Amino acid sequence: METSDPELPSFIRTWNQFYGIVIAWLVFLIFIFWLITLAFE
Amino acid sequence: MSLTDWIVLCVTLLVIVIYGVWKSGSSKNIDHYLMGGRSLPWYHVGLSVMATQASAITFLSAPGQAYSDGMRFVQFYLGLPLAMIVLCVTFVPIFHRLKVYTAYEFLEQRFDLKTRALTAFLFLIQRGLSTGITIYAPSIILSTILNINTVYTTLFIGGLVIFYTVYGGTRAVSYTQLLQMSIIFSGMFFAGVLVVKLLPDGVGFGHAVKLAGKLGKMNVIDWKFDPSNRYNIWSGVIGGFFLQLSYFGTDQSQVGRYLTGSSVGQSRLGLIMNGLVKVPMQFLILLIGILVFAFYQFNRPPMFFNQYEVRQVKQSPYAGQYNKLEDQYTAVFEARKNKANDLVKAFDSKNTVQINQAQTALKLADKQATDIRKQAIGIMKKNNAKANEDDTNYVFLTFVTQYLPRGLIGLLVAIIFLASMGSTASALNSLASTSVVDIYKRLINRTASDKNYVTASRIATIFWGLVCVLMALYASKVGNLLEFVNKLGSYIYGVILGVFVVAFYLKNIRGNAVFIAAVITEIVICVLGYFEVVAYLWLNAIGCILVILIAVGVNMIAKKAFILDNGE
Repeated sequence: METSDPELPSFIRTWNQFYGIVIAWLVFLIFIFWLITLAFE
Repeated sequence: MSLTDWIVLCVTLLVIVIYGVWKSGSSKNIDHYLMGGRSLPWYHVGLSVMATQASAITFLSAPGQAYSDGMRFVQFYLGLPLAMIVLCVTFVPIFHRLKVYTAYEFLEQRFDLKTRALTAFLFLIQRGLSTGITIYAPSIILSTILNINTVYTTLFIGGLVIFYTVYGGTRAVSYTQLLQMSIIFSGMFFAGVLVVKLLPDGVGFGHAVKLAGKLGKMNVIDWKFDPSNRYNIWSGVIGGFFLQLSYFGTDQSQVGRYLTGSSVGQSRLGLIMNGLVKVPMQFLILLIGILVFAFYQFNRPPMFFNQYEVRQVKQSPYAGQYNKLEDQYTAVFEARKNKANDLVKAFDSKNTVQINQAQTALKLADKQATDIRKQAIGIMKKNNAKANEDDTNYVFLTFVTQYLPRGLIGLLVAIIFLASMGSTASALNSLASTSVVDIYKRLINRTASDKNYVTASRIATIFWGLVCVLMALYASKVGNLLEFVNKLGSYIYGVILGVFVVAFYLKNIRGNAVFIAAVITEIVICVLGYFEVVAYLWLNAIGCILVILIAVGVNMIAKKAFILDNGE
């Protein structure tokens, strides 16, 4: 298991957690963009 | 432009160059000159990576693209966050651990000298040619808008960049990019706010976006899979992922940026910042284009935005026909404006039937305007078959110079110069690094002093700077060069990425196998690209996968032959 890195922001424990946040952010953006597409059709 | 705008433009550019030169300090060794002493914090790395990718065309073209084609271009960037993760996991730790100067240096440690030389050579060709275009493309647009000869704008951008890149090396590049990006963000924010303010009374942000949506411009996500369609979610996520991974992982202009990070963690944080910010940033830049589109529903836009081409046709025997179309366009615009006002009223009434009726009427008026524009382009082509029929790059700057207040015009023109300078500076720095580290230091003079290598790096920067400026000056003489160079990246990146993927993940494959695979794949990609078998974004993925498959195949054949030769 990856250990905590002092260079990470305080609210994130591991790099893998950070990568998970990036993926979640991308999924969230795609979802929002899709809603925008539907809303303004 | 007014005197105030010229002052704002000149002061902004001077302040940035002086700041960059002042902060860079003196470089006594090659590590400091090419890698900035590997001491920069994550936000420097992140902004530098973003400034390197965002050329002037990003800020000129993206709003124009949204104006004519809608928001769908944002899908092009959806693969970027995923590429950042792969870089952080694989590329960054290895490059940092081996303390390489260039990405290609690693390939010799993993494979052999010829693979390193091949990839470095492909990079030098691709980046050397495309950097000329990075200078040329905004130069021609600025010269049209500002009424200055292209030669002066090219020499101005090129000269300024060569000066501070040669003087301060990579630290000057990073420090100027830090300030450049801050100014670019602020300028684009003010431009967005002002477009909304310039909309007619009773038309707000919501109305503008709804109106653009009713005309098909809010097409952010397209789920339909179509390999020939350049922008849908699949080409964006899959094709874009390969493109961004090859660009950030194997193009020295980007590798050189994140290797300036003071540690693996700082480089990773910089790349993750890029992964989190880039997509929303592109969305907002495109949204400015949508707002400009809505603005031009109520204010008469030029029938064709590139005034150089308009002047050409107006000085030709076709002037009468063109002017007649201008009159028709004005009449159709007035009708379209009324329909747009009807639609805004319908939005306020919230009556669906009324909204649908107004939308149909507006679409019809818009089609009439589009048809007249097409006829005008037809006349331009009749007059000059080589006339550029794409005026996307001129939309935003035309709006800026005609409608924004004094001072802000100068600032936004400065942004175009700054964006061009930022990406050009990184490119020159990377071309110098590759020339010196992969060729001069490796093949010509292996035991020279650090001072000698710094001098060689400075000479290489000047050399590539001059090559790029000459390319930019020559580009105006060759019509199809721009298109050729734009596609060149897709021809080369996928192959180089394939070599790196084999290097990282297929430990048993040796140098000869990957070298043969790279050469064969490059030939196949050139054939596929030349005959336009698939959209160019897919060439990156195909190139990468082919290199891997062929390398595995060649390796297996070589192993079998070895076994047979040894009688086992």
